Amino acid sequence: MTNIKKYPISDGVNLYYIPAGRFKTVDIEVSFYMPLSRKSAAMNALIAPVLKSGCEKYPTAKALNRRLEELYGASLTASSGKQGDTAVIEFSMQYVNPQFLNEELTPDAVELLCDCICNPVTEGNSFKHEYVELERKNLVDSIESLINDKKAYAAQRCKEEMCKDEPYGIYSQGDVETVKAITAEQAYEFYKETVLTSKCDIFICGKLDIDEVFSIFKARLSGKHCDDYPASLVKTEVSDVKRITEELDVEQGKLSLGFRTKVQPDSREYYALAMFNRIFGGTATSKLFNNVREKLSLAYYVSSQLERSKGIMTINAGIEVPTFSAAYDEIMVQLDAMKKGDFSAEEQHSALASAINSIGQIADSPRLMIKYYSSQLSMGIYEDPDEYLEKLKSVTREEIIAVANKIALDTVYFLKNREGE
Amino acid sequence: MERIYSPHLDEAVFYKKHKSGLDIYSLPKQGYTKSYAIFATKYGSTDIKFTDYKTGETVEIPDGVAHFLEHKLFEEPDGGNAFDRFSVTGASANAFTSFNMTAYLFSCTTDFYQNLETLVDFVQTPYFTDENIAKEQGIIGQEIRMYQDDPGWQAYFGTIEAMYNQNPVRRDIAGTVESIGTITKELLYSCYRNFYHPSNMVLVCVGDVDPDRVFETADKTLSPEFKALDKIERFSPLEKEEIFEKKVTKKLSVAVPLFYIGFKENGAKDEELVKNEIMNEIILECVLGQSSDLYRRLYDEGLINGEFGYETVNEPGYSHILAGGESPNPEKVYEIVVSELEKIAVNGIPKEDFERIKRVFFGDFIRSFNNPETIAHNMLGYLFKGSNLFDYTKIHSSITHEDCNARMKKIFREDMAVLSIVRSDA
Repeated sequence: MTNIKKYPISDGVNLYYIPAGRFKTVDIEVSFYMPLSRKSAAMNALIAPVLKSGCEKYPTAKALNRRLEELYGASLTASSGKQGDTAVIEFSMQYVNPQFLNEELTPDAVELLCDCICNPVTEGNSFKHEYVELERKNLVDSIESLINDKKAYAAQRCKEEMCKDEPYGIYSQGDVETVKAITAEQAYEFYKETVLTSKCDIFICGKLDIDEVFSIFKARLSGKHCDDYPASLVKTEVSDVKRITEELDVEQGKLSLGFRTKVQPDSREYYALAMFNRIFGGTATSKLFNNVREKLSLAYYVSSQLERSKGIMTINAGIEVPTFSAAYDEIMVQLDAMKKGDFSAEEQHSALASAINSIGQIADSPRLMIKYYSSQLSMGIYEDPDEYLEKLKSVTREEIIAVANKIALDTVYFLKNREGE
Repeated sequence: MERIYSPHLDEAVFYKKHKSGLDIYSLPKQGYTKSYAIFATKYGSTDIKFTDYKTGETVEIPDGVAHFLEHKLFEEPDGGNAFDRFSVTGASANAFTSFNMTAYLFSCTTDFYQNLETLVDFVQTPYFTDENIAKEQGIIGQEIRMYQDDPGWQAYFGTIEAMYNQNPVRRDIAGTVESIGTITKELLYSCYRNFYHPSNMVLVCVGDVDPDRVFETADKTLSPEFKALDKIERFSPLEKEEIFEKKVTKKLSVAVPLFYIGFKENGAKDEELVKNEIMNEIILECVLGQSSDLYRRLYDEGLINGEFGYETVNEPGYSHILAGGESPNPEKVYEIVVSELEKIAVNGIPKEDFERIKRVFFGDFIRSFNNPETIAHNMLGYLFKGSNLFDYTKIHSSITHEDCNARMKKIFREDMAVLSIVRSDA
């Protein structure tokens, strides 16, 4: 890896610097990693917005936001999510590079970020109760409103059903029951005992004096952090295919399919799988798009995506309810075609060209640079985007066919309208 | 070739008008891997009636034609699809139709000039048949249904339906299943030859590009038959000043009701649109932004959540402001917002708030130059409003505290306010 430099701070805490003078901003991300469970998902989802509600120095959201505005509209976010079977809580900041302004913003901006992460507003041994109650309500609403976005809802339901026995099936924002039961004291305890001692990665992208920034982080985030937890599990056995149908008030049906590819994230096979996915359903000229949508008009959208850490492929399609079977059948016909090697050198070349295009995109965005490296590093993979591209280029037709034949259907989820209305 | 340099941004844009009337802009971004090109026409869903320069006839356009045309232009006479031509070089192509424009674009990391040729060529090659029209009616029918299910879009669009009486902005961009059912190839060719004339279009390229080579490529691909055309004669119905209706409610399956509040603005002059837009942005951030008293009050009372946002729309033909999100009690939010904004309009915003927020937008503007796609879209938006993106700095710094206070009196009026709601139990 050449574009990124590692600066270890302490056990389990590392700073990574990506120098990039072409950007007009400085971008920073601080992430904490721990095993995903109903508890950690709910806790992180509640704690993130509570920390964003204020810090000791700027104890209300209003005061905090005004401070960010003074810093020429710097942005600060706190969010929670998952990477495979791992829970993540992350904080990010972006501010205009001081070279375009007449002010030295960096120390103020970085100290403010650390204030929000390390010095929340407290009441005794607890977060401020008012903040926790407000964010709890918002979080419950947010979890319940997943149903508003039928496309996302169907995709999540499929994952839930498919991964009933794996953490990955847990909705990254938690579940209503767990969220409602967390007290402000318990949340604070989890934050201190778990979050602040979890593996921590700090990423910085832009052009600045890295030593200055390193010193600030070293003073605020040291100590021993736990980076010893299991990697995401790639299931290699599939028993019977699960089939689930649900009914809601919808005009358009949703079909979500889950597959096990049995491919490990750091294996040579993964690159063949990535190429397979692009040819099969990852682009607007893929087999799924051209056949299910363009030729047969069976879907408005249809695509496939990979979750590298879990070796899972999902297909999501927006379809007409009466033609669900036809759409499903055609999808499986196209998968079968891939397994038989029914794709041309031209299709493979097209897929590679699209990969070059989208991987090239990464270097143009500080956020994408940080996301790319943080997700690679969390899977123990060390390669720059152009190294990744070289590996894709070297994938052979035979390797694509071989990896296609490992793919097994696991779960079929169908969302349709209510009958008789 | 004209070169316009901005010292504040350390960026330069190059411009030249082609003999066909096409305006061509290039903004080189060294060190970037991706390049971006947009080829757009000043033709969108708000164009409903025009005079065909070829036949002299006045043509009434059914709803959804601009969007339908956009889909159909990708089809090639040999039965292929323009997307395939881009995928050969690994470019990522797309298109969109909005109220005011239709745009065709691609991004790529290699073979930029070849992709640029493809872009100009396929947009200039219309191919409409009865058969390919029928097929598209099926696909767009599904798209229309998808948007019918989309509570966010329905809430947003409901506000526009409430504010406007006759203004074509209230027509659905995709049309209806019925209106697109009336489309014929003759109609498409008529709209195409008028609105897709290069003198009604703009080409914008941003990325690691050479302006001279961009111009040569476009010149070589544009049909030599085009002579610059006079402005297209478009008809727009006269819009009443009053709003159409106060409240629009739609029923869809949602967990928490979605809503938008709209304020209609009348009589905005085209040459003031950019300044209005920047002033509105500063004003809205001061009065409804996350650090405002009003936002805090609504948030702390549990009436809004993190989904709440606002937008200013300032286009030739219509101007309005929208604010909305999710709420268990949209009517209460409306009451509070409208009465508070009227009060603020009377009292004015504190000078320190104005100065601080003005800084925010300057920061935003510089930040936008991180992203070639954002630069290209912003450039296009400004050009179609008769302005230039680099003028932002000058216009921005000319805005005073007094300007904003005066403006608020004009736009925050209860008689110009509407409420649109989407809820499960209407």
